[in-house]
Order: sequence, then structure tokens, then C-alpha cells
Amino acid sequence: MEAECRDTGGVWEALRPLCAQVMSVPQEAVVPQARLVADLGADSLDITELEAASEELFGVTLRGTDKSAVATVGDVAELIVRLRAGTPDAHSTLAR
Amino acid sequence: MTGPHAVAVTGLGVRCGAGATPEELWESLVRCRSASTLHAFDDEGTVVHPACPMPRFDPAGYLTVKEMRRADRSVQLALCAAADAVEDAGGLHVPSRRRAVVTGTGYGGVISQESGIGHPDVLYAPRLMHNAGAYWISDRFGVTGPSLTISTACASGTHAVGEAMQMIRAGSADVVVAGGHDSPLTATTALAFGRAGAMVTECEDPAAASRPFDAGRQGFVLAEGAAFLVLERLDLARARGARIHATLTGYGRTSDAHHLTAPHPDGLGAVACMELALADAGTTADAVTHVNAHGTGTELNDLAEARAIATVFGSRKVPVTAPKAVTGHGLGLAGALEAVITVMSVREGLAPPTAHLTRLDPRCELDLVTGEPRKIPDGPVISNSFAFGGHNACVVLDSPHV
Repeated sequence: MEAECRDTGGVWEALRPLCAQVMSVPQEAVVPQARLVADLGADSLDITELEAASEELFGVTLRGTDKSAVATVGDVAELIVRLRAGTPDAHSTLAR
Repeated sequence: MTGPHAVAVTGLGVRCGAGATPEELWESLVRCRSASTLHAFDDEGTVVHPACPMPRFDPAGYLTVKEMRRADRSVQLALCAAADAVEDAGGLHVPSRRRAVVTGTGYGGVISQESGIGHPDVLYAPRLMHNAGAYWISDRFGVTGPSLTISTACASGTHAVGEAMQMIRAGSADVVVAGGHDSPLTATTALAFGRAGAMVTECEDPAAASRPFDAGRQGFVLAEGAAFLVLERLDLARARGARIHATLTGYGRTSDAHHLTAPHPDGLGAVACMELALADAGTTADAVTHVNAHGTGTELNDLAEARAIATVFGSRKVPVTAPKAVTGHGLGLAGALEAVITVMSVREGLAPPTAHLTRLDPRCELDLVTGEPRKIPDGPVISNSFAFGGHNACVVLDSPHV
């Protein structure tokens, strides 16, 4: 996981402070293996905020994508990187 | 007892420039220590007027960092004051479904609203909505009975307290956390009130900028803050041995139906409102020992209110105080803050002075308390709020011992 996050084209560097801000946790707590809900205390409003901010910051639409495999911050970074790369599987047609 | 339930005030909490606790607030009032200061409404310091900000407000210990992000400053102030009121009451001692909350606010989350225009984030709506305070208080104190928010401009706080009393009387709740809050110290708000001629914009002595009923008045001074009371069924409060600050005995509300911003010049709506409140309390004007005036320091309010008070009580018959000389005018906060002050007047048997009132406007035929606090006997005390929009609200408080 950490290896995957190492080269994310700046995604990780921007996602980390964003998560810290949205979840109101210290930046040190935002590590790739940190679980959004269980470790960082995220609730539905936080997730929505993260999605909205990601759209602005990374130019990707997280809403409507399949996030069943997303549990950790690393998963989010990975999803953003995949969406940016335009991997077709990662993007749902039901986006909204 | 028969008839509707009597209502006790068992908890008080405040956060405003004049005091971060009810005791501090009372000290400011009796010592004529004004909260008014020259205030920069914007970072650049281009909009600078007298105002009553809450200095060094820190909600840490009351709200988590995440909660602070989600709540406008106005709501943060509200939650802190409400928490203090609940603590002062020794907690809420009825089941969740018998608890209620009523908040009053004139401006809602106006700081968040203005800063988010054009680029709102996900939290924009929940930060600015007027009922945000009611949510946060209900969530914090397990209130699953009624919760609602009243917005009647400068009468919001008094309406909140009065409607809360009605809930208890009607049997809809046994304990209500009721109060008002606003944090409107934005440059846009200040410019608007300044341009409308309602607010003091320039003043040689900013500390004495708010001068209700004084011939030298120039308008009101904008304030921010929150004030909350815990209202409780009197019999239940007595049964649990609660310390009872005062009883809430009367409530009146009327509308001027006269003008968008100006009161009826003869204060007809205000007269009717005071009379209704006194009748509701089962008392008469003769018995009233003190009037806590709306007294904003605008000529329109002061003259209309003075006429109304003289009509109801007779000229110079009852000691009157205008606490906004010390606290400033916190819009939706005002009525709740003045309800707290009136409760303390009842409890202490003192009418606080109207600060820096040096030259009573001769058109105001009132006995204003000045200089030193004045002793008042046990008896009903009335608190007035007369708002933009012609919304009038008065509450009557009394000693729990009578």
C-alpha cells in the first residue's frame, strides 16, 4: 500500500492536509493505512466534504464511483490516481 | 395546583462582551462597565465603528475541533452559553422526550454565509441555517421533544423564552433550554446598519457609544453573543430541590402592523404587549417593581418605548433600566440576555443603572436608574423587546418566594 502511494503525482501530498482538515485530525494521523471511519472518525458529512474538495483539488469525480473497496486514506489516494489516469473501470456511469 | 404549570428559571448561561458568565455580566452592569469598544469589522481596518465583540472567545472544552468547523461562531457562542445554563441548573432531570429547546436568532450564521458566497463548501447550509443552534443544543443535551427556532429580529430572544414557557404550560415539555444568539459583526452588517442610520458610526468615547434614552444618543451599538436559560416546571424543580433563580410568570406578544423598521410612534403595539404580559402574569402595572427596557439608543425606539412605558405605568412611576448601554445590541441575543439580566434583578433585588446616561431626553418621561443600582422590592419585573418588523414581545419574571 505504502509503495503504491509513493508515486501518486502529488496526490498524496495534497490529500494528506485535506484529510487532516476535513476530519479535524493532526496531519501525522493521516497515514496511508489509516481507516477513514474507524481511525480518523469520519462521518457521512466528512466523506461528502472530502468528495467535494477532491473534485476541486484533483479534478476527479468521486461521487458515484464504486467505493466499496475504499476504507483507508491510501485507498482514496489510489482511487484518485486511477481516476486521473482515466482507468475506465474506476468510473461509474451513474456518477452524481 | 390547577391551571397551566408555573415555570421556574433554574439555569443561566451567557457569552458576550459584557461577560462570559452571568456573574461577570452582572458586575459589568452594576459597575457601568461598558463592553463597547472601537472595533475593526474587517481585516483591512476600513470599517471601524464602536461595537461590543466577545473578546478571547474560545469554545475549546465545549466543542471539538470538528464541531467548531461545522458551526458558525454564533452557534459556538450559543452552545457554550446553553451548556453553562444546563450546568447551572444541575443538569436536565426529565426524560429526553420531555426536554425541548427554543432558540432565537436574527441573523443566523451570517459570518459563514458572507464568507461562503460564490464558493460554498459542503458545510455552507448547515453553518448558516438559523436552526443550527437548536440542533446542536438538542444533540448535546439529548433533547428529543420539541425543538425550534424563532427569528423576529431584535425580539427573537424574548420570543424564544416566552414560547418556551408556553410549551411547559401546554404540557409539551417539562424542561426547555431557551435563549438567543447572534454574531453579526461583519463589515457588511455594520455598513448596512450604519447607512440606515440606526447604528452609531462615530463617537468620541467608544465606551459610551450606546446611550439609550440620553439626549445625546446616536443609535445602537452592535454586539455579539449568546444567552440561555433553563426553564423548568416549577413543581418538578421544587421536587428535585433545584435552586430557583426566579419564576417566569407572564408573556405577551403583539405586532405593530405599522412599518417595516419603525415602531408605531405612540408605541401602541408595545403598550398592548406589556399589558398582555402583565395580564398573563395575573398582575397589574401598579405591582411592577422594575422595567428592563428594550432601549436601543435609536431615537425612534426610545421615544416610542418611553411613551409606551408612560402609558402603561404612568410618567416616572417605575424604575427603568436600559442594559444595552453596557451590553450593546446583539439582535437575536438581546431579549434572551435581558431575560437573564431581569432574572438576576429579581434574584438580587436590584435594578442595575443605565450606564453613562447623563442627560435624559426630556421627551422620555421615565424614571431611569442611573449611577448606582437601585433596590427594588420583591414583585413582578418586565423585560421588553420591540423589533424591526413590528414584532413585540415582553416577559414577566417574579421572585420564587412570592
